[in-house]
Parts: sequence; structure tokens; C-alpha cells
Amino acid sequence: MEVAESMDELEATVACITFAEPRLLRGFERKMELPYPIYGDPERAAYRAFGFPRASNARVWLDPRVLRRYASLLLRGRRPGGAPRQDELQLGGDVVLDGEGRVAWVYRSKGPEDRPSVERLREVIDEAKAGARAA
Amino acid sequence: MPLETGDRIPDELAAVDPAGERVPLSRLRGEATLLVFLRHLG
Repeated sequence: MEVAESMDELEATVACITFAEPRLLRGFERKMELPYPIYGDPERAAYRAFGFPRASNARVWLDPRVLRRYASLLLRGRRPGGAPRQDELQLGGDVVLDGEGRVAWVYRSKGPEDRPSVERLREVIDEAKAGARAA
Repeated sequence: MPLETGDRIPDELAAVDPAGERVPLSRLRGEATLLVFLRHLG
């Protein structure tokens, strides 16, 4: 997870949300050594609330962008597996909230490899802080 | 309609922490808060 590797660069409260069953979270926390808390949303209520869709099988399994991303992760030493079968088609995304609890920015992934850069996250986090101060 | 920029997080929108406690997302609040929604674990 690129965000986890760049945590120090992001001056924000960070939380990770997964649709996995909550009983799986502690093992994942240990495995990934996450520097921020993780929460479960097995009913995917928050995924629906922010409009994170499911992708097609072709977009998830056959798209060259996905294959390149997985190859890159393998070259960096990441190994898939170890988790129970989950919905492989559900896409994620990123949300930035301002200090008043309002949505400052939403990024809806278009495919498994599609995530905003850490640089872009830093920009929108700074904008959210500036916007809240100006309000 | 999905939540968009400017919308306030509804208090009833919540997730569950590893201890099984329900946590409203509106409570995960700092000067700015980044919520990273994963595809799946693994």
C-alpha cells in the first residue's frame, strides 16, 4: 500500500476501511504493520454511500494496466494470497474529509490499479485544511 | 445519490473496529482526514 509507505508525508488523520469481516482485521493489521487504524464495513454501506462500484471481470483480470501493476508489486516483493475468498470485483477509493466532517474530495477507482498518487493526496489534504480555515 | 464534495458525513454511516465496536465515520475527524477504502485484504 503506497499510502502506508508514505504516511509521514501525509499530515492528516488516516483510516483504512475494508469490506472484509471484522474478525479478519487483526491478522491483517499484523501482516501489513499498518501505521493507521483499520475498520471493517462488511455490509459495504460506506462503499455505497461514496459510490464505489464493482468492476467487470474483464477490467479486473484482463486489463494490461492491472497486469502491469501486479507485476510491479511482485518485483517489489509483495506476494498475494493468505486472505479468504473475497469479492475481487469491488473497487475502492479515497475520501478526504475536512475538519468539519464534510467531504472535501472523493476519488473513485476505475480499476484495481487506479489509485491517486501520494502527491495528489497531499495536495487535496492541504486544500481541505485551507478550505476549513477560510470557512 | 453518492456523497459528493461539500456533503456532511451522516452520523449513521459507520464501520466496525477490530474489537467489534461500531465507529461512526464522522468521529474519525482531524484537521483533515483521509479515508482509504481498500478493494480487499490480501
